[in-house]
Amino acid sequence: MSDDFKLALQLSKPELKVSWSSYIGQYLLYSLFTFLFIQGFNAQESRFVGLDLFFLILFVYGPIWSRVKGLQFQQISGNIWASPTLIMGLHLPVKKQVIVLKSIILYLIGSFPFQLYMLIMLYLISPKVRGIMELDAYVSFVIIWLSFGIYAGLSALSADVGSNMKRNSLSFILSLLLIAVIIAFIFFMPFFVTYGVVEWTIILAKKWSMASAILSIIFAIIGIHYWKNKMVKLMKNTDYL
Amino acid sequence: MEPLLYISNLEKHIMDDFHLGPINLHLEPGTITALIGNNGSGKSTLLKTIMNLVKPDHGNIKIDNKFVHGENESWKPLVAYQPQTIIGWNAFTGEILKRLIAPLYPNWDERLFQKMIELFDVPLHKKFSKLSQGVQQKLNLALTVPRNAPLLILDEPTSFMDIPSKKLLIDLLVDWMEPGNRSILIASHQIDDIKKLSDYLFVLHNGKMLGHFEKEELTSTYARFWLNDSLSDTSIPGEVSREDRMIISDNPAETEAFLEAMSIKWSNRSSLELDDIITILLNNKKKMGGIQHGSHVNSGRP
Repeated sequence: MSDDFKLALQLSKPELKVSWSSYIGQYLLYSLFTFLFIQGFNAQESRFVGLDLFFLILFVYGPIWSRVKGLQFQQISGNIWASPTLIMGLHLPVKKQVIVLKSIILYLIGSFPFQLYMLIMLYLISPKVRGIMELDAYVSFVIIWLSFGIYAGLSALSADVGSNMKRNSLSFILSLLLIAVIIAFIFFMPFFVTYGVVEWTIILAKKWSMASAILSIIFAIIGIHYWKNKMVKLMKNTDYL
Repeated sequence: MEPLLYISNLEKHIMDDFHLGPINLHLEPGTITALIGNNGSGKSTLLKTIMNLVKPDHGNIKIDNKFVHGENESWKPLVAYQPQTIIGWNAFTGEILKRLIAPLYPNWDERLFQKMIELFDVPLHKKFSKLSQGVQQKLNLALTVPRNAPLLILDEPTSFMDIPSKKLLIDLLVDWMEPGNRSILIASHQIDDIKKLSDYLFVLHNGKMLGHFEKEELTSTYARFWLNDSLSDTSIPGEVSREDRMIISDNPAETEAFLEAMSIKWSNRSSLELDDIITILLNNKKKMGGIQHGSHVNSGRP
């Protein structure tokens, strides 16, 4: 184990210690979504597009929703918003890479086990899901979504480093438009390409189980390195006034 | 002797309305420098720039001959920084924070930490967010000073503290300086801190450096004269302020020689308190050169 990784683990401990209540919250949240997704799969014949939207939102934003008070994204000064514990790390004799590594470790601890729990429960509880996919295809489906949670989810984590929240009216309108376009795309995707996002991942998992799983794992590894470097770069260029 | 902190031609432009610098400052081991200035003069920004929390537009900062704004972050264990606003501690108790911070500093002084906790009566089992501002500040200091880093940077360390605790802290810091190889840079508005602790004063006004002064020399440089008669509009050498028959000079020898030459009588001459001098410096917004004191003091002149 590298010294950086050891130090990142050491720095993670205090946050883990105070986060137990948020992990209970995560467990309840993912249990709720398990129930919701079971209903969603049952209603899939009638094109329940909410399934796609909730799946995407949960895997991207779920892990950063339920942080305990004191660890949540907050205004640092002026227009800069960042993770308070990241700022604490910057005041200590810790390399930027280690601070980012610590954030990634905590993100994975707060997401991976709960997402895995939800996907396992989905298969065990829902006869519909078991009917759609054999076990090997479902394992591939699980790997596709867990990997997505890493390479797409870490993009949400990158905001921890510090975001300039200064908004002029044009950028605010453009941000709203972008969100509207993404939601519209998810909703109308089945009309253009026959299936929704979740259905497409089911097709990939069933037809190319091994290839989809391997590619997803590769994307996850690339994603970790990409976002780690991106966050370090952002830290180097941000003024924490 | 190599400076512990070396700042050369540092400049930073922030938004449209604030420009810090150019700043030149050398701090040598064994010295305490008070960073003073009006509100919004850039004291905290300067300290954050030293800590690489803010990136300079121009200039260099070196700590123990290591560049702060480079890829190498090996300078970090050499500095203990106490920010004015503490971010990221709210969720933790003092005990958890100590277990997080202490192992990061090889020279951590556990005995000093326990002493400060006892003296300041800080409850370590309470969450930081549940402590009063004064106790938060005490805990912050108890987790900063025992790091025993060669350079200690304190940003308004006593602004919320009660009077007895301020006195205790000053005594602790004087003891902490005893080994002779450490240096403190302290931003403060508290005149007692400045008077009792500092060897040097680094003065900022609206981002501009007014000078780096040796404290004793600075106080001996100013004098107040009470004249027997009112003056006309005569300009007096060294005069920085005039109020009826009282004038203040930053060059008493020259002022005295002029008064004698002009046969102007004065009834009394006295030195100024440090807070009066600081007020004059800041009010006059006068760009002055620092008083030379061997190689210890930089000139404020560009």
